[in-house]
Amino acid sequence: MIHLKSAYIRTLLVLGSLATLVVASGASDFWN
Amino acid sequence: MPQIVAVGVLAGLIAGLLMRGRFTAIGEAHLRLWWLGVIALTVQVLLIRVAGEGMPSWVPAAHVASYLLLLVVVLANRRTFGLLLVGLGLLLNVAVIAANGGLMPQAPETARLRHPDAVTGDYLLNSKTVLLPRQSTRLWWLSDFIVLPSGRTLPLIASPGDLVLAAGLAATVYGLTRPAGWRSAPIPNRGDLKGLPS
Repeated sequence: MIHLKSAYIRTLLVLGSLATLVVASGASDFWN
Repeated sequence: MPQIVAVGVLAGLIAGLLMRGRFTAIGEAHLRLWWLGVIALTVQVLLIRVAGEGMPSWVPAAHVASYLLLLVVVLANRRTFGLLLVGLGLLLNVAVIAANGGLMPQAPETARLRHPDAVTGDYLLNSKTVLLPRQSTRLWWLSDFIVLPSGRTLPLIASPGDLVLAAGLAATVYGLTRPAGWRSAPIPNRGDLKGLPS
């Protein structure tokens, strides 16, 4: 169970990193 | 969450899962220098907070410089499927931003769809946007001129670079759901090439 949770957390961290990269690169709807 | 990000992530996840990828395989990825992206976003948010309505002249230059950090992240992870497409979107956006003084240009008539009191030459408060008439916008076809229905009251305004970013994000997320061996071809050792016809 703990292992499963950490896998989900790592996945969300990677998705968060990608989202950060895209928002900083543009994603005008975030900034307008 | 910005819709551009939401659409990219969801499209990539749905495609990946339909192709029997795994959601948690994404967590097995090792994105290099990801923290530079966090720094770049933090710098950008701080810049527009500092700028307020005055927009000191150094802010647009610092904004363009923050894109260098993002470019480093993309280059460091260029072998990750889809990230080069993210890099292309980034380059399209920074090209039009740099060509127009360091902020993303948007035509006033487009901006008025979301901000009825938008005035030419103004900066949109708390944004990276400057309102410029199309005829005086360099590379206007890369600017925020695409108006899309958002499913909400106000439409979504995006640049071509934003759409490429969304496609790149979808491709990256799709690729990361795939088995590790699929994501990138290993670089062959010199020894492995011996015996191959030259």
